[in-house]
Amino acid sequence: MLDLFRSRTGFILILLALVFIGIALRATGNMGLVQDATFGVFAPVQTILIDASNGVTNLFGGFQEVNELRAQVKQLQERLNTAVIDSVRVRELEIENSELRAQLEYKQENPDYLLSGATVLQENDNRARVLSQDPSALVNYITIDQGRAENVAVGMPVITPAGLVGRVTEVGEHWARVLLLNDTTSSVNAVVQSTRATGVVQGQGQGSELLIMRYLPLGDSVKEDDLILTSGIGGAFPKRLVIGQVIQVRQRDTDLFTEAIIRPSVDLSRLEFVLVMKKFTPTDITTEPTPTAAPSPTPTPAATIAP
Amino acid sequence: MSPYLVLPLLFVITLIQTTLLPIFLPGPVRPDLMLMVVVGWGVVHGEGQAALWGLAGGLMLDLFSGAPFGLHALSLGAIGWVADTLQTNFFRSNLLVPLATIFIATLLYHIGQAAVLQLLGYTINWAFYIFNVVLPTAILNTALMPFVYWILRRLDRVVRPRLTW
Repeated sequence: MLDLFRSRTGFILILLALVFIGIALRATGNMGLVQDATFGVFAPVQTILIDASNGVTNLFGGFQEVNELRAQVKQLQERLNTAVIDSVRVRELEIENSELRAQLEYKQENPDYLLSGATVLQENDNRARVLSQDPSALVNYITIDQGRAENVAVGMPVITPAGLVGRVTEVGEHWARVLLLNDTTSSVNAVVQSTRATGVVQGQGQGSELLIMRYLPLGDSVKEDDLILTSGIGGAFPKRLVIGQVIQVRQRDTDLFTEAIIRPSVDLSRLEFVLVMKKFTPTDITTEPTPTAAPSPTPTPAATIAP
Repeated sequence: MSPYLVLPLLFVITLIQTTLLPIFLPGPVRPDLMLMVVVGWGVVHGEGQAALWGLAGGLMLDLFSGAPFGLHALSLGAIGWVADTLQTNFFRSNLLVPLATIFIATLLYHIGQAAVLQLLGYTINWAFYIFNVVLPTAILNTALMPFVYWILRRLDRVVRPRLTW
């Protein structure tokens, strides 16, 4: 047996055995103990490295990104102007809405009306630190430093204040793996804010930061600059979390559906801290009215011929 | 080279590749440090060690990856084995050998992994992936290889007299 450890062939056989044991453990969902031990060793070192690198980045990063930042400032200024106009309009609508509700003695019974994220942000101040990113460009996962011990569970949505990041797919004692929105296996039920048309947002993977929204109804269901939110259908994500903004609409005469290319509201390649939504009320799809596509112009009723 | 030296080295490389590089180089195009070290060690040292480094380093990367387990270990092990073979067949002091090897190895590594993932049901946009990720990464790896190769040659001079693994 000792010879096995001393020879190169022995080591190769041992390593291959470990690979196949790992494949079996991952397939049967029993990889947790191995990864708990791994992250137990790696996580403290990773935390130190990240803190140290942040210092270096702050020192040198500024010089490299001056031009990029100038362009971003200009772009952000334009967006801020638009946002100010929008916020004024939204405020007006809120006042109008509130008055109408009062007039109709409308009682708000559904506590889920508000963004669930707001509640979660209040309840969970502990931000999860992103420990590592997937070494492969083909799959898009991150590892965070919160796990079972912090009440993180598989399926929980992960967000930043800017919007949706992804969802937890694997949990260890003090770590969790998060599937990002831009992975090809990610799929989120979504709604176009302006038209209420629903579709499915999927990742394009292979290093692309952009998302694609599929199965949108033909017609004017979506246009450029539209905001895309989670629809809540299926219960995996709460309603009205921001996913991103439409940058291109694809629609051909032969297609059954419209597709939209979406830029995520969160920069998924530069994540440092995220929030895990540990508590939200899933949408009850049995009571939820079926979302419809953009209201099409009412067709003129055919003239009735009097008998 | 003793496993007591190799494993901490691979541990550090794994940390750099999964933790530090994404901070400094966000986006899909990043140097494949583990691949460069495995290929470089195969060309510099050979003797079947690069295959071992590839398997062990790949195992560590697999622990950090959401991809099917074994994808990195088996692909890096296979590439390490090929790099070991090159050392016995080519004149290793020629710098063109590691440069050409890492360029081809990067293409094989990424395209091989994509092919395996497609067989497992993943959707791969081949044209986008090859032109936006694989080729830029291959060029980046090739550009950085002389630096890695220089370090590995120095390491080889240190460890060669008391080779145990």
